[in-house]
Amino acid sequence: MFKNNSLYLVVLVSITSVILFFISGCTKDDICPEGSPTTPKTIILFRDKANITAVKAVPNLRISLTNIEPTELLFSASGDTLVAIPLSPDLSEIQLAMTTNFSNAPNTDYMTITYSKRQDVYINRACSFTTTFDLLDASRPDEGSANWISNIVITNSAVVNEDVTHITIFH
Amino acid sequence: MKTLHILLFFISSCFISQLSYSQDESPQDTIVVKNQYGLRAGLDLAKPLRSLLEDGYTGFEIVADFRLTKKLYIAGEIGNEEKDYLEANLNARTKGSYLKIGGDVNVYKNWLGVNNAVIIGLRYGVASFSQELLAYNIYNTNQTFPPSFVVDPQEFNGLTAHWAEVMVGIKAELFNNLYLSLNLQLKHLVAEDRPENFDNLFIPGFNTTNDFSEFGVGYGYSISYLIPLFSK
Repeated sequence: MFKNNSLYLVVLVSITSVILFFISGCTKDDICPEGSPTTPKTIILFRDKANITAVKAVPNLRISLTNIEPTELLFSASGDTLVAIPLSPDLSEIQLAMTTNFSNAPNTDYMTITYSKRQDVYINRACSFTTTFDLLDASRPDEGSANWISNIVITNSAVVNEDVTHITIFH
Repeated sequence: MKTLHILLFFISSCFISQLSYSQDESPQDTIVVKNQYGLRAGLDLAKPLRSLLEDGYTGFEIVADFRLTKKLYIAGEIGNEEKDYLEANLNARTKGSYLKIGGDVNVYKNWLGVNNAVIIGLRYGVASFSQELLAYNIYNTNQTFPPSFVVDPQEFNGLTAHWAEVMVGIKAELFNNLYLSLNLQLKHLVAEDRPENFDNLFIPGFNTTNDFSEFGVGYGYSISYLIPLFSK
């Protein structure tokens, strides 16, 4: 039927192509490697209102996210002067219940952070995109002497990494 | 000693008789087998088949080569491909055309009158294409909020890419002048236009790109017909 020994080549071609077809069908699952850039959290630093250059830990600080259901406890510790708070790319505002002395004499101030999405940044096909934010405002309702937070200042409005302080709280 | 001489005599007489015998047949050896030269053109079979079987892929390719010398052919491919990248965290679409030009060397010595080939080929490829970013997920190691999925189609047009390619393959003559070919291709990107704040996930003719290397792979499975122009 075929010309001379070309039958061998035809068989070889067919077998190889079938193998190739199956190999090309399964591709390696790309997994985003650990340590890849991720969407940054906003960094809050606590300073002393009496001495604004000194950092001051909040005794028994507890922070909850109150604008989602159910309320999510983000942070609960004492002695830390730095706290990292996640922002949602789908929201433009988060509300935090910040409680000091939660174990004996709790006092809660509600802080609202408004922000906008700055830019989605392409990483690679496994990790897809991350995003960055612009902080617009951070404040708490004035309750006079009931406030334990005396002042909130946005020190870096661009949340592009977690290496700098974005919000400074004086208390 | 005497037996050796007798043996030598017999062996020599055998040669002499052989010699005279072959002299009688010598006119038959002067048949010259001529090689066919011409344009071989065809169609890649794997791409239309893949278009039928795989969702999110359509493609076709025309292949051609022209024989220059006994072993050397100039060869090229021209094609068009469209490929969707639909993963949970990233959706994109690439479409465009490509041209590959180069040469094939046949390293296979055929029996007389047989025209099969084992080829080693070199190509330079150029593609013109567009990438469309359809939707993506925001990567976030923090799980406080539900994952954010952004549907914001952006199209990047007028992109080009260049690459160099080495291929090995075989060609078998099934019937008179009708050839079936298979080849494997190893490619290396030379240059590419990257979309701003995105990447080329696929390049027509080059196939899937790799985030961490410039290499690509491919294969061809084509049927082609030799249009004989002359023989020598």
